[in-house]
Amino acid sequence: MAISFTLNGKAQSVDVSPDMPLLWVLRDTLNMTGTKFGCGMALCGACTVHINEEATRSCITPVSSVAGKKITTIEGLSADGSHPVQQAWMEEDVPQCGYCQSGQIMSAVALLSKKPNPTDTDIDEAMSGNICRCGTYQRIRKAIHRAASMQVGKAKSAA
Amino acid sequence: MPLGYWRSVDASGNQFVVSSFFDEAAHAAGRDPVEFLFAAFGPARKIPVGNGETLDVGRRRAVLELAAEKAGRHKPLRAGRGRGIAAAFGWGSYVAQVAEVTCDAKNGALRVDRVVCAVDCGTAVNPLSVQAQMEGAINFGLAQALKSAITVSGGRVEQSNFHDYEVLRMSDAPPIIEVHIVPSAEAPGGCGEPAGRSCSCPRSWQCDFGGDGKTRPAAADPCRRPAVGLNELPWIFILTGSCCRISVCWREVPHGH
Repeated sequence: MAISFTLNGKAQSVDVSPDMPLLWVLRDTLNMTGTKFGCGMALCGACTVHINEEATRSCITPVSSVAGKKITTIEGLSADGSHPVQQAWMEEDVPQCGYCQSGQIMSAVALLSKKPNPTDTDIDEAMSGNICRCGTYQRIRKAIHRAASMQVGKAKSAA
Repeated sequence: MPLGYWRSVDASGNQFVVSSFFDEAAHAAGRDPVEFLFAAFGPARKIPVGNGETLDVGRRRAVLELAAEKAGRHKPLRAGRGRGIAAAFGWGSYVAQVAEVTCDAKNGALRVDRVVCAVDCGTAVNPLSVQAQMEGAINFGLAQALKSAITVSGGRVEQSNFHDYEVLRMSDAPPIIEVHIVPSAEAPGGCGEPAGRSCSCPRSWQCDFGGDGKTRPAAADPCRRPAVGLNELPWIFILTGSCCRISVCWREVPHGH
């Protein structure tokens, strides 16, 4: 049975088992491998995507549950890495191995959409579901603060 | 004692034993741990340590001094907060670290507030990478100190995923990690493990939490956490292990370089 949703702004339909986790639909069916498999139990955050703008662990999300919803993956943030959070990540040299970073970025984008100027406590709360085994946490914190100020700057110049 | 291998291999265990001894000795002697280490190191000189390696005591002293100075070791800390130092040598690199730790008097929970790391890895081919490796290794090591444990029963590892093998998360990560790289033209040394696995394996915590001058080493049980119900944190010993991934500074260049 075909399941339809919006993926990165475009209509998408897949014909897969309804209980197939969204992560594997993205990676195996749609060949969008920016979203990573980590633990398969929603413990590590590597598979984080946005479903109707909420950061969600795609590894435990049956694809049937996203029918009619809007999904954004790391590929959907920007075509060229120009999203402020991606820019901030580059400027702070955040990644080491990089495996967790698309999930980290998706959680950070969701945080900033709700709290444009988060405190360290906000960051701790929003980001503690995303594990980084390389230990880039201090740089992630800095990058989120940097992205916040970049977005403020952008909003000011647009106004 | 059965041994398993992980990041920094045998260096962490050996460093733990050596450093624990010195830390306990310093406490037993009523001496400042930094001064005690300086006295134990002795004057600057070069000592062959086998495998073609030479321990340069001058470089070892320099990183200890740098870490202690940058950490402001003489500045008093508020009640409930403690400071620990350790130094390590391995694979051509010298590392010293000072950690400031807060202990919750009610539940004994530890929070590492700040880690100051001094590293002399010879020529730092890519200083940004050296810094990143130190930061990452410190976080990695803290996971061992604060959370992670692998246990084996009947020949099988008992843990299966991050619900029963907890690692460091954002909320546990020290707000501040400072890395000071000693300028050097010496041959490049390793940077992957000297700092982190270093700064904190579970066996490495040795705390004078009781304020009675007695350290309470957690050495007997690698998975044991420091004692709880603590009001005071004078010196916390932190193992600064040693390194084993040789010359990470050029082999493992982080993304974006």
